[in-house]
Amino acid sequence: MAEELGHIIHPRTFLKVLVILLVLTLLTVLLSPRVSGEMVDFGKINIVIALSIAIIKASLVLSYFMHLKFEGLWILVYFITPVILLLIMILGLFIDTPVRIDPIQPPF
Amino acid sequence: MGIHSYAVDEIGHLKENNYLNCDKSLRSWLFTLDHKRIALLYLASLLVFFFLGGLSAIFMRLHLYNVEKPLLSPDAYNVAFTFHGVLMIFLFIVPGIPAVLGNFLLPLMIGAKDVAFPRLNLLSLWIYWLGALVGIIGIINPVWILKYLQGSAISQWIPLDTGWTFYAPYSTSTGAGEGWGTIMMTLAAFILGFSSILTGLNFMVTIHRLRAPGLTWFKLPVFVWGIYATSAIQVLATPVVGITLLLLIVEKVFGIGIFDPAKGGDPILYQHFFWFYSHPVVYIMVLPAFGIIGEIIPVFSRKPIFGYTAVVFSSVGIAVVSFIVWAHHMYTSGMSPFSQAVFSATTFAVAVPTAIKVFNWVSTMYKGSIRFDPAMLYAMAFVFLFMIAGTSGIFLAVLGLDIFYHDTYFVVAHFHYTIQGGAVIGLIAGLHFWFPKITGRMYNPGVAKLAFWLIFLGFNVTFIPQFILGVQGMPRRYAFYLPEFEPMHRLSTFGTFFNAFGYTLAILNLAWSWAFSKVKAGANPYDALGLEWQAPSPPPHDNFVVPPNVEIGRYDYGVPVNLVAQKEVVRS
Amino acid sequence: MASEAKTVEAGAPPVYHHIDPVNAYHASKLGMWLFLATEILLFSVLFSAFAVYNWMYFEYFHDAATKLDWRLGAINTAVLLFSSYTAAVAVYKAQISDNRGVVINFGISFLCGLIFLVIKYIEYSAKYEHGYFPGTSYWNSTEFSAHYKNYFGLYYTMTGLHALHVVIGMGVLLWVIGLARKNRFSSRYYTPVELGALYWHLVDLIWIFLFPLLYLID
Repeated sequence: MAEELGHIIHPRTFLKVLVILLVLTLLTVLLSPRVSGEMVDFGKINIVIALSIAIIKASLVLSYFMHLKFEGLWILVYFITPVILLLIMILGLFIDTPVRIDPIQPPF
Repeated sequence: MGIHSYAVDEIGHLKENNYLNCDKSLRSWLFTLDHKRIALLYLASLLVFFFLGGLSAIFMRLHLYNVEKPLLSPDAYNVAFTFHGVLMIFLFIVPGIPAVLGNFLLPLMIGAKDVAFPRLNLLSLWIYWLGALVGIIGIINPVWILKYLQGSAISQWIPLDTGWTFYAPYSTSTGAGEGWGTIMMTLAAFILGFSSILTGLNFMVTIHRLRAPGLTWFKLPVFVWGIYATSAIQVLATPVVGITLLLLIVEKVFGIGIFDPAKGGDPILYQHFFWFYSHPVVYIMVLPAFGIIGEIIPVFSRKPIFGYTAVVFSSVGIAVVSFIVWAHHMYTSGMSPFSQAVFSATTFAVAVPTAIKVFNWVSTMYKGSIRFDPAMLYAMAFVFLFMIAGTSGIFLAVLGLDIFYHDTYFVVAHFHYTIQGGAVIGLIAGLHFWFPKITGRMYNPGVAKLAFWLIFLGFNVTFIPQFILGVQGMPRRYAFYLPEFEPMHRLSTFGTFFNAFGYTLAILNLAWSWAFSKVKAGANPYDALGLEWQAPSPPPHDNFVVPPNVEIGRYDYGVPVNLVAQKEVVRS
Repeated sequence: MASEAKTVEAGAPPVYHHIDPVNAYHASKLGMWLFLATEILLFSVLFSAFAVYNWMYFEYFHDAATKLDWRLGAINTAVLLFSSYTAAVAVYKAQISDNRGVVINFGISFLCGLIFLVIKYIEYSAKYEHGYFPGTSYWNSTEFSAHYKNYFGLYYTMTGLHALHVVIGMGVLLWVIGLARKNRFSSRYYTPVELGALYWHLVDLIWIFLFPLLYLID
C-alpha cells in the first residue's frame, strides 16, 4: 500500500516558490507610482502591470502550494470556470456602465 | 454495518427493514445521514412553503377579482406579492426538485449507497431549516408584534414590500419593511443560498466519484445529467446573490453608497449582480424537470429516448449559456443601448438547446406505444406548457417588444408557464412516477388523473388571460387596475381556484395512498429499465440488495433481453 | 445512525459505509475545490464593483487610496505569503506521517494570521482616529461622503470580508492542529490537513489581488 494518495512536493520547491513570490511582491511595490513616484507612472498601464504581477503570483500559489499543476483536469476546470465567470461579469458591467446615456454621478 | 438479510418478496417489495422503518425514532429522522430520508424531510418542508406561497397568491387573486371593493390595501397587496415570490422561489422551487428527487434518486440511479458527503447533506437540510426560520421571523416581525402590542393598527404592518427582487434603492431605504423585514428576508435568502451551494457541491462530487463500476458518463440517465448541470449552476451562481444581498444589508446599515444614487451609487449595478444569479436560478428550477420528463417519456412510450447525446449536450449547453443572458431582465432599467442589444442576442441563443429537448421528447413519443399513466399525463402537459413558456420567452427576448412587455402581465404569464407549467409540473410528475419506489405502494390513479385535469385546465384558465392582459398593457405588481382589464382578471381568478384545488387533490392523493393504500408496489411496477428500478421498493438503507447490473442500457426498450435481465436482478 | 466506524489505529483513514478511503480522499479534494470556486465568485462581485466604480470615479478613488498605508499592506502580503508556505509544508509533513511537523507549520500559519489581523487592527484604528470609519461623524459629513465614502465603503467591505475569512481559516487551522496533536494523520490519511491548507491558500490568493488594487494602483 505504498501508493501515495496525492502528489508530494518537497519543501525545497516550496521555499523556491516563496522566494520568487516575495521578489515579485517587492517588484510590484517598486513599480507602483505611489511608492516610486513619477518614474514608474505609465498612466492607464499601471493597473495592467500590477494585475499581471498579481496573476503570476496567484498562478505560483495555485500551481505549487495548492498542487494544481499536478491535479487532474477536472480540478483545473473547477478553478478556471469561476475566473471565466468573473471576466464575463466585468465585461457585462463594462459594456453598460461607462457607455450609458445617463451616466452615474458622484454625489453632491 | 453487519450483513443484513433483506426479505424481498417476489415482486421486489421490501416490507421489513427498509429505509423508512429500519429505525423509527424521531432522532433517527432529524439526524439521519440517509439521502432518502433527507429527501422526504425536504419534501415535507417544501410542501409547507408551497402551500403558504399559494395562500398569498390566492389572496392576491381574490383582491384582483374586484378592485372596486378591494380586499387588501395597496401596502398589503405589495406584501402579498413579495411573500408569494419569496416563499415560492427561495423556499420552494429553488431547493425544489434537486432537494427532493435529486437527493432520493441520484445515488440509486448511479448504483451508489449514498451521496459523496452524507453529513454535508444533513447540514444542507439544517441550513435550509435555519434559513426558513429566519425568513419566518422576518415575516412575523418582532417589531410588528411589539407595535401591535403597543396599540398600533394592523394596517401599519409592512414587514416586506420590496418584491422578491429587493431592488435598490427602495430596499436600502430606511422605510422599506420597517428596516428589519428586509434585513431578515435577505439574510434568510443568504442562508438558504448556502444550503443550495452545499447540495450542488455534494451532487457534483457524487456523480464524479460514486458511479458504479462500468457506468460511464454517457450511460448516465438524463435526469442525472440534468442534476449535474443544475448543481454546477448552484455552485457557481449562488455565491453571487449571497454577496449581493450581503452588500444590500451593508448599504442599509452603513450607507456606503454602493447602490444608492443619492450617495453616488448605481442602482443598476444591484440589478446586474442580482440577475447574474437570478437568471441561472431559473435554470436550476427547470433543468431537473427537463431530466424528469426525459425519464418518464421513454418508459411510457416503450421507446428509447430520441437523441440521447443531444439531450445531454443541450443540458450542459443551457447551463453554460444561462450565465450570459442576465441583463435581459434589465432592458428598461436605463442600461446602455449597446448592452441591451448584446443581451438580446445572447437570449435568443439560450432558446436553441431547450428547443432541441422539446424536439427530442416529441420524437421519443413518435411511433411509441403510449400508456397514459398519470405521470405520463403530467409529462405530456409539461411539453405543451413549456412550449408556450419558451415561445413567450422569445417575445420577451426581442428588444423592441420587451420595452413594451417589461413589467406587464405578459412577463408574469411567461414565468408562471416556465416555473409552474415547467418546474412544478415536473416535480409533481416525478413524485407520481417514483412514488412506488419511494413508498412501496401505489397511488390511486383515478384521483390522480382527476387532479391532473384540474391542474391543467385551472392553470391555463389562470394564465392565458394574463398573456392577454400583458399585451393590453396591464402592469404587474399593481393593486389597482382600470375597468377595461376586469374581465381577464376575473377569469384568471376563476382559474386559480381549480389550479389550487387540483394541486391539493394531487398531493392529498399521494399522502393518503401512502398512508392507507393496500396496493403494494414491487421493485419495477412499470417494467422500466434503469438502476433505481433494480432496487427493492422501498429500498433498504444501503439502496441495493444485490449489486446493480449496469450493463442493461437505460433506454434500450427495443431489446427484449434487457427486460428479462432487469427482472432477474430483482428476483435474485 | 452513524455511518462511519471508529478508527482502529492512529493514522488510519475513517471507515465509511458508502465510499472507500482512497475515493473519499479524492472526493473530499474535489469538493473542496468546488467550495473554493464559490469563494472566488463571492469575491468576484466585490472586485467587479470595485472595477466599475474605480473606472467611473477615477479621481475620487485615486485621492481616497492615498489614505492607505502601503507599507502595512506590503508587510501583510509578505506575512500571508509566508503563512502559505508553511501551510504547504504542513501538507508535506502530513504526507510523510510527521504529525509534529503539521502542528509546527500550521501553528506558524496560525500565528501569521494573527499578525495579519493585528496589523489590520492597527490600520483600522488609525482610520477611526481620522474619522474615515462608519459611525464617526465625519463618515456622514458632506465632504467625506462626496469624495471618499464610495471608496471606503468598498474598502471596508472587501478587507473586512477577507479578514473574516482569515479568522475562519485560523479556526480551521486550529482544529487540524488539535487533530495532529493526537497523531491523527499519516501518509494514508491527511485529508483535513490538505483541505485546511487549501482554504488558507485561498485567503492568501485573495489578498494577492486585494493588495495591489487597493494599496498600490492609482
